[in-house]
Amino acid sequence: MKDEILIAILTFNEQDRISDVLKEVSKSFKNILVVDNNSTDNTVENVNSYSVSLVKHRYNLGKSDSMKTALEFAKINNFEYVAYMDGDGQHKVQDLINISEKIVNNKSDLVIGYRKELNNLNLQKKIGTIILQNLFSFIYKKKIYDIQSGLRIIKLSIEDKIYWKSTGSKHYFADAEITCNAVKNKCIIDQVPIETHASEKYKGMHILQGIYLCLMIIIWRFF
Amino acid sequence: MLIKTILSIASILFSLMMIYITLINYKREILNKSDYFIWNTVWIGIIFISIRPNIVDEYFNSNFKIDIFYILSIISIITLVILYYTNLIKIKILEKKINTIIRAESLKDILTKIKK
Repeated sequence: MKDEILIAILTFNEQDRISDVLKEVSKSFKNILVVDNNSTDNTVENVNSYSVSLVKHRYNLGKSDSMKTALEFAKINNFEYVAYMDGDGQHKVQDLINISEKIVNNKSDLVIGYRKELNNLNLQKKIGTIILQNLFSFIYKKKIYDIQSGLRIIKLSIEDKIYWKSTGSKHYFADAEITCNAVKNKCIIDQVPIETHASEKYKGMHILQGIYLCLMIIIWRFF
Repeated sequence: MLIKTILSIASILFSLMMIYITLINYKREILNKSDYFIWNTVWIGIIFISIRPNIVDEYFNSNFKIDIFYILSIISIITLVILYYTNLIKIKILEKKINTIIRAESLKDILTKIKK
């Protein structure tokens, strides 16, 4: 099963955590691709000490384009699935295994890992997440617990249905757009509860980005 | 009257500065000949209107019975929106091209390594 899955780990200045992430992931998966967004620390040097593939962007293109690079790599190398995880160590490998098994066993198109509990979020993020969930359910008539989850696995054959246009290095809309496109185009979606470690680096969205994302969720539904 | 004179002088100085900047950009080959001509015409036109605003005012008042400032404000807003829009589109296209090139280049590197 694991031969047909490419694990794409997206990094930007993750020198402190990337080694632990790669050590853990390489115990369970052999096809690993690290997409680095022109890190200025020793992330690339640390990645090079492991036998994984590394793609380094010359400039920071943001998460969205890193995901596209991984998708392109997976297509060129004839993988059936591409799984995305963040390089900051917030996701557990066991959860990666769980979503991988789920997509293969259930023959799903997309499996999203969702945070079981929002307790480790501050009040603002918690309210924001709940608003997003409810808005999404109302607009798309489907309950998705974490539309922005960074831990997800996609079947490559649905690329045309979920292809995202969000871009830029200052926000994280690609995950949300993929989810919206998948629901809109009636892809088979499964959700798996996951645990996350709070990342010190990721500060989340600020309120204006949250409002902008809400607007985009509506736009993606109808256009 | 004093305010009108100050505004006219400010407008003339601004236009002269823009003529100079346009010349620099032309010499750097950022602007081509037609850009250089069009923008200089715009700045010289503004200098002309700033020196003799009455001519334009009288022309529009006698021929069209409308206030020149009314027309100017509408034309300015439309021009700003058009310029903003075209710049935005051009930047988006450029951004897309650059992203595609960077991604293709980085993938080419790794694929060459894998083949070896």
